[in-house]
Amino acid sequence: MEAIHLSDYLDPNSLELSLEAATKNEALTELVRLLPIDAGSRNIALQLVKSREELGSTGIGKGIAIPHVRSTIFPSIMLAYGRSEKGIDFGAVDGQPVHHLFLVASPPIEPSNLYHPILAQIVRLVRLAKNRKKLAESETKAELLNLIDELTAG
Amino acid sequence: MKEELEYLVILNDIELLIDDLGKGTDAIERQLGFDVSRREQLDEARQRTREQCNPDLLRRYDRIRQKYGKVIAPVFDGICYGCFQRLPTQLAQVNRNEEILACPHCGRFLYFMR
Repeated sequence: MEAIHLSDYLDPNSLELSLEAATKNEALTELVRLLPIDAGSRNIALQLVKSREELGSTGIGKGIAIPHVRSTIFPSIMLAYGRSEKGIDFGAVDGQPVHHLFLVASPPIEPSNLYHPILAQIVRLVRLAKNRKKLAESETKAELLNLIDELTAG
Repeated sequence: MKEELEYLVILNDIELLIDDLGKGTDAIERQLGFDVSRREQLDEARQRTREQCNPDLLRRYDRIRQKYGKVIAPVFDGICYGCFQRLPTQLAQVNRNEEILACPHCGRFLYFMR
């Protein structure tokens, strides 16, 4: 399979380099707000992403959370990224606060079947400490987009 | 957007998530490092959402769910993406998502995309 470029699903409007959220719910609200969908659809997306979190936290440790949601309301796969300097208690598997949050939203069925490969790509990206450090050090949205492109170029 | 439609969409998406877990999605999620241990919480979320739904709509929902699984059909450019048939012009031009509408061909509830 060709390399998945996460940057294809991101643009400056779907990035937030300094999340204001102090809690998990606030963080999810801020992330959902970054998706290019209408306000009514945002309500649905937020409820669904919270329901997924009830199944178990998407905080996978080392300061990373990858909340994800599938719903009819998404016309295609969409991503958002938020960064929190102070960290957010996300109930992560290692109990550590979360600093980097990727939101993955997808329709229930999408012909390209990229939902899980994209989740896997993000997991691979953040697994390396040097990549997490680079994500933390990006100063502008453009820099961050270039970095994500570079790190997932395959 | 009509609140009743929101609940129907949320209910269907939670139920589709539960279906997916039964088909092995939980194993994929675990492999990726996600926690999927609290399945009963999801069943509770499903129940809570059902209780918020209008009883008449819920009865219709359950009938469609039994028939198709996917109860909500997105609409793009006047096409129902449940059955891929074109909606009558009058229906395609209504106040989007402010009413509970069903596809005249397949009966699924319609969710109009921007």
